[in-house]
Amino acid sequence: MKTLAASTDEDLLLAHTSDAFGEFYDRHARALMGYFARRTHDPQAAADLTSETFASAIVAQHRFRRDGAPATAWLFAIAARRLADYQRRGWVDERVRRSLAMERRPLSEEDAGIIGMLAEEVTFELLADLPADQRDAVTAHVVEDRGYPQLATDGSTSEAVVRQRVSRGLATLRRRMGARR
Amino acid sequence: MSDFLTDLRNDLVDAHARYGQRSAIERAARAHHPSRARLAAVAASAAAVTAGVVGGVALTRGTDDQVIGRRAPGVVARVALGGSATGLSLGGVASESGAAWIVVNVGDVMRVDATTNRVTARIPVAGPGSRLSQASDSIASGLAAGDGAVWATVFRLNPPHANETTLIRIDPKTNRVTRIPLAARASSYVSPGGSSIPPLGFGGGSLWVLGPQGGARFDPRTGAVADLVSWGLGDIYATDYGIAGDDLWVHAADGQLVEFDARTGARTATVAGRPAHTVRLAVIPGAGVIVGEDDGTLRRIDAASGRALWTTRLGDIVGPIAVAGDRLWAVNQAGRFERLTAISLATGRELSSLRLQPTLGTPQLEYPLAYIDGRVWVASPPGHAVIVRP
Repeated sequence: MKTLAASTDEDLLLAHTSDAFGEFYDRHARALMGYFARRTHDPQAAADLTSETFASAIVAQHRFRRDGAPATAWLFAIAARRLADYQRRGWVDERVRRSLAMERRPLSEEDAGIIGMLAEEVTFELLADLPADQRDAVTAHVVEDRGYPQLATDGSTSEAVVRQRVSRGLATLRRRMGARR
Repeated sequence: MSDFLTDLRNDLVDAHARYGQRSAIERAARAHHPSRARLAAVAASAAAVTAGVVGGVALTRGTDDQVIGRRAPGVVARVALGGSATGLSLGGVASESGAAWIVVNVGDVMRVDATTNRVTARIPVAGPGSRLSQASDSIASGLAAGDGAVWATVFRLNPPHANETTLIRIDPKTNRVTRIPLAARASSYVSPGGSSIPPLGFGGGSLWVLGPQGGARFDPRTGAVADLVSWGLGDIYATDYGIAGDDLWVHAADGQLVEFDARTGARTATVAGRPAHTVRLAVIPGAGVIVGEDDGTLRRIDAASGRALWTTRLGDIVGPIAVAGDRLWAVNQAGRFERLTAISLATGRELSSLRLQPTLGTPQLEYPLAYIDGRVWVASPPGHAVIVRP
């Protein structure tokens, strides 16, 4: 039996289990967030659209077929429709999320910074210019997707220190990216 | 992973589990109880037999995936379009020169022969050879037909050309495409600050590109801007539009409906209404407009008096609607199924209903539909056109 990690995207959607959907989310959430962030230039809108798209995917999952479009194309087709609707109306229609009784999650300043990075497709050149502790922390947390507790353990330091390094690194990147525009 | 993405993951996994349980309960309930449709059909059959009625209107087979009512709309054909047909707020399917013209992947226009039901051409409009607009910054935002041509609009999403709108003219004789960039003045008028992807409509002999504050009226022979018409809504913006014959109706965010003469842009009527997030409009030329709201409510508004002639409720959500003869056709959602439902324009009474599954389906109802040569065409997100005989 395949593990979730070894399963294809199509296998994950056709499994119809919450764990498999979680794995599917893990694989595509950041790409989807970046897709929305680049097109809306608004972190909160990108977050809301990401939420609505995955909520829509839950409701539409039973219609997914292996012989149809690939799973990523299926997901991005939903995303494109949500984006077009947002562009047309100027606000995110969150009907599906609400129908699933999911609360709207507010964004922290750090979340907004990370989404901004996903939007800007920050270059490694910019990352390389950061102080070493900040560069390593941002790379590990944002690029490699490692959690704060793990980074704190690996670095023999506290979570608060890791968070501070990531936060400062992101702030520096935002300033530098702003200066480039 | 950011805290937001982590929290969202947890929320989604919980929601997935709840939704799965709900679906299982619904399936179990359906397996143990005859559907309302079956009961209705059995009751109707019994009544017909008792009364000795023979002939005339056929009774239904009584299965939930077929028909509720007295006459079955039959599926004539399903046409594979090779792309998802969705994303347009107005149009999406148009009729011209004996063909149905359908936008797919918000980038290509498919030409389908209305006699043979075969795709005869794929015409890229959103860019050279456009086939999938997922990563594209150009999207088709509208489709309309009139004055011997098919028209589309293409909107650019990203810098450095963000918010530019191009009018596309397709010659049905040759399928050749002519691109007419909107002047900056008209482009910013229909999409101020890039706030809206402008839909397109044809009425009163004019082509209209529609925006939240006003519309641009075009001469279809030259593609030149004839007029810029303000909706006169002040700080309120328009959310939805309907156009047919010489009538253009605009729905504003505060719920009011405003009618314009599509030939001149003159304002002809204003009707107060209630705010609604998503509204669909279907114009009855010279007589008024049907308003479909996202809670499933449908109202027929009389143009002369501004009063609602009837109000009805159609399932949980109403999607695209279209007027055809003495009927209104609506894509609606009832429970977990999308349906195509016919309603009497005179009374608002439901006449028949066809379940569209398993061919169709997305969480929100985006199924462009149109009445072409006596048949209803419904284009679907998975990429089919379902052709129905009323």
